[in-house]
Amino acid sequence: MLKITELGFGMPSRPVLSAIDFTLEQGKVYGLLGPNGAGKSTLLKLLCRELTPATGKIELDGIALNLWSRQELACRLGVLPQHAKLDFPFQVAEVVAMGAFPLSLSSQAIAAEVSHCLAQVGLNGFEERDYGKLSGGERQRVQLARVLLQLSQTDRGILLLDEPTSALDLAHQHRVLQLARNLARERNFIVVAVLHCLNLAAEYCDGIHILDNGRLKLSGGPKACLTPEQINAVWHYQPSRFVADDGRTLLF
Amino acid sequence: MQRAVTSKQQRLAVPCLLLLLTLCSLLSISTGPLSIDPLQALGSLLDTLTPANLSTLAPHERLIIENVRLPRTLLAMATGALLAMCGAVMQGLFRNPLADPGIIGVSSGAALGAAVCLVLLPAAPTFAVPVSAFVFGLGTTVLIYRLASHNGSTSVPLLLLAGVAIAALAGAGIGLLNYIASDTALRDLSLWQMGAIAGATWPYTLLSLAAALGLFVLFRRDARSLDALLLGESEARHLGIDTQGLKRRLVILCALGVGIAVAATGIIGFIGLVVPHLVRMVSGAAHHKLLVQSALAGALLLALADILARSLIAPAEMPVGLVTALLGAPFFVFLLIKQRHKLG
Repeated sequence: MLKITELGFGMPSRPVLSAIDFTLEQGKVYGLLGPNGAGKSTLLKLLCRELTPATGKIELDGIALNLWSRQELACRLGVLPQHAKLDFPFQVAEVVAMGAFPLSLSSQAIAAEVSHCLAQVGLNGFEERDYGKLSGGERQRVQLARVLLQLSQTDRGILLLDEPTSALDLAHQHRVLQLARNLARERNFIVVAVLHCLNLAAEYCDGIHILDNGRLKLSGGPKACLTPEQINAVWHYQPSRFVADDGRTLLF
Repeated sequence: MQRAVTSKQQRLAVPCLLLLLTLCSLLSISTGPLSIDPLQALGSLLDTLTPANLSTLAPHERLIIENVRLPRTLLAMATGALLAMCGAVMQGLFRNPLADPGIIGVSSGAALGAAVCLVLLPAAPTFAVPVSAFVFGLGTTVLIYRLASHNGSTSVPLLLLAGVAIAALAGAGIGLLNYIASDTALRDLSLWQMGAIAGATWPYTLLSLAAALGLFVLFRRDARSLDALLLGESEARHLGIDTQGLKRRLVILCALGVGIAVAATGIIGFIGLVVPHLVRMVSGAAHHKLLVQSALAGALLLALADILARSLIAPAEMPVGLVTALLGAPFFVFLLIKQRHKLG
């Protein structure tokens, strides 16, 4: 369980984030939403200890995040970056195997995990492909496979996804978020995804946290948070509603 | 982006390099003003290790092999290995394939340290020169790293520009020392600046060999961390790596390696830049392979350059730094052209 209490970041005169309070429970997918500059990426960086809070605290399983050892935290918490640029010639399997750094696995076990994780992201047989020659979407899925390998030995992982669907086509956007949901359901993961597509958030997230101007504007289930009125209040844009054949309401 | 490579190429790389290195060392021992048969040279070396009497070489020929050619060959190989390994590590550290101890000014800083010791402290013991080269090399590395780093990331254009500025400053310092140096010190300094292996002595050779072996072991321990660092510092931290400690450790080790190499042989450019590139084309970028193959290929390339240095204008000799620059500079231009869409 990740508990965030009175979290603040930035100069007191110009806070980037202030008074953030919420709890993230194992086994659930959370969407972190908000307009550009709302503080979503900063919050994600605080959650993975990339930044240190100015005020408040973050606790993982009741222990302050800064008290966790580097290796212990790396085995529990993985981050999928928005972009991962590599200017050197690596094979796909070598990139995925980097996820094994904090783990104590034999090279045979790593090779087996690499194939398993690549299969999970739909890249079976890509092991010997040149990472530099992959499309942006394929690279993002390779990076996801690397993070999955990093979290392969825990059943209480925390997966932080920074705009995981930004480089993906429609089908892979859904596959990646289905995978995130499966990890939450089957392996008790906490998944936190920064998303811009509200429909994806509505479909895959159990909980929504909407940030606006560095403050937590709204928390709750997708149905309660993602109404045209709330969206207009945060994004200052009146979305159109569309009811699909299966009864779902989509916002554009 | 270079291409990833096949496992067959990777498997053959180390045995091929070892074979070439053995042949090259025999060629190096037998090449010079006094030509010696390579098999006789090998026999003479084996004679020193075993009681068997395999060689019919004259005593003066044995003396040349033991006191001139062998230390020279081993020094060339150790220095080549040091520079290539440090180049590979610096390119990983700065996440840029164009980083090199020479290009970012570390070699110039180390040369200034050696020159200060030679000119201003002529009575200092032999080992004061590499110590001084190391201290100046380390100082230069830290200075350039600080200048080019901001908020935990390193700017490559800043790195190269800071390298140019520091190299110019070190060049001015060496120029000043040239001006006030005695005739003997001036000659040694001039040789240094062009890179020379001709004056190899056993103490420097053994020191360089020990440094090359020691750094190889230490760098290899960080091979996986260096791979992860190529993903980005944040990504490496998320994998549980103490990136600040890693960077500090590698910077100190590179300064040590370059400091010793410069103290023993002067400024020899482009080995640190060219060799890791060539190795990556054959074996990919993973550091556990890159480091071992860069060490072997660096040793091979500098030993070959040294053979050329004493053969091209025989009986006179060229400084080996000129040979590596003549070979390396066109290769560097080729790299710039190939990567200009990314750099521009």
